[in-house]
Amino acid sequence: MNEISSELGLDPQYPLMVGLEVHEPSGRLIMERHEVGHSWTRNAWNMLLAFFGDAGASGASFGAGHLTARDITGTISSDTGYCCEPDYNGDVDRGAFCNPSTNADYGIVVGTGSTAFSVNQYALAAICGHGTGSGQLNYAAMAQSTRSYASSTWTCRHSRTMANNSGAPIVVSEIGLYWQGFLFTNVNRVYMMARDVLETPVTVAAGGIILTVNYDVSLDFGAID
Amino acid sequence: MTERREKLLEELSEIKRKLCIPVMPTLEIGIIRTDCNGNILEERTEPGHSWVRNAWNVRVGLHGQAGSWHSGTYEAGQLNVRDYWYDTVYGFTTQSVVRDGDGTGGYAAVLGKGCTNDDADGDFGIFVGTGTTAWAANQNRLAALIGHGTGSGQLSYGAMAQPSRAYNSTLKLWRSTFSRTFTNSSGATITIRETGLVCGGHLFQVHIGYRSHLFARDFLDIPCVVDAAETATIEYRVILDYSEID
Repeated sequence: MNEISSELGLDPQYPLMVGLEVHEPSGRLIMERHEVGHSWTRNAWNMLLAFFGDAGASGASFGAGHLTARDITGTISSDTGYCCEPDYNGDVDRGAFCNPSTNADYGIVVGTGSTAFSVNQYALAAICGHGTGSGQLNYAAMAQSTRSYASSTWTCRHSRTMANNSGAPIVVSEIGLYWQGFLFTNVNRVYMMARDVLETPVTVAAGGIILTVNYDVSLDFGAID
Repeated sequence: MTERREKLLEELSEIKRKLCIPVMPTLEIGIIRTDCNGNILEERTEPGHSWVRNAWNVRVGLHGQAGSWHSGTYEAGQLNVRDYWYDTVYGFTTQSVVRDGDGTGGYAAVLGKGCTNDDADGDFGIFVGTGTTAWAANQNRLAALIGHGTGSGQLSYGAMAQPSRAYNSTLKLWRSTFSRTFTNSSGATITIRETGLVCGGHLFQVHIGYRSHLFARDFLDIPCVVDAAETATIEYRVILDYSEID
């Protein structure tokens, strides 16, 4: 695909890769694998046009032909005079995809739902809440994404760990990338930008076992570099 | 379109459809020339070619929430921006991208920010020039900017309205159209040979004031000759193909 894009002189693809690791509390690696992300939602598509096209909302519903956004509570943002701005004025260590707090409000989140991906989804099917109760995980604070450049490709990695202190195993079967900011509204809201149903669910055993989820966002600059 | 190009486009479209991947928006340029009474003298469209490195880097900043990463040059392997007016290369590791152009800590308002300059001046928004230098990815300025004004060689830049949005349900394309008028009150003919889309914002920069950054530059296939008292309207149409998801 990169070769085709390059020959055509077109802008390249914008892929996602999902990395999963499970560690014991001691740090010993139990499991590691990678999957291709499938998974940008309509919110992400509309955000791209909002940012580069200075496009305010158009329409009132959420679906084909409507330039709006739907937050994780189901509320549709559709103000014609507003387009896109990440929270905290572009700070890299808070707002947007980076949640520096120990909660599941935004950033990388995980769930136990297995509903097949659909582009109009706006929240995980069954999110694991933050905590030590049944079905909950302790979400760690996220650090600034890392970035690297190799073979004409920039890659940014969003990463988060979550520990199972619930007392029972939790089977993670979906992951999501929640973004906090202003999208088609002047109200600060949280939107799901990507969701992936794992090809093989990951069982996070009890006893403080730690799941690490990496979302690698890549952009191939081959057409200009 | 050559047969090979057509075949490649079909292949690429199929792959993207399978992977459900949103692509960088494509660009189109609209050129409309009117006389002093508003009668249309010329109206045509050219394909845009034309995002420069600033825009590509900003895209990494947007979805990667990436801070800048560079060693002071504006080229491959450097994640930064190059300013239009000061010609400086910069970027903070602690800042990604905000399209707020007026320094008020904006909340995503369209007008007065990004590429939508709602003032009648040449600070940012759509620019025009007379230069003939070929496009290159590392450009950060027009080759020969036509300044805002009524003096010799100048055009009066109009205030830009909010971009219009339209969805083509057959082709499944969203289009957001930036538009700006350039009125020739200089008393002599001026020939527009290049156009630019310039973003006023905080790109890899802390939130103090704003800077202007060239996002796209196009060397027109056919120059637009604006006689005295005529007005040229230049449109930049940002088009995103939703056929993979709609």
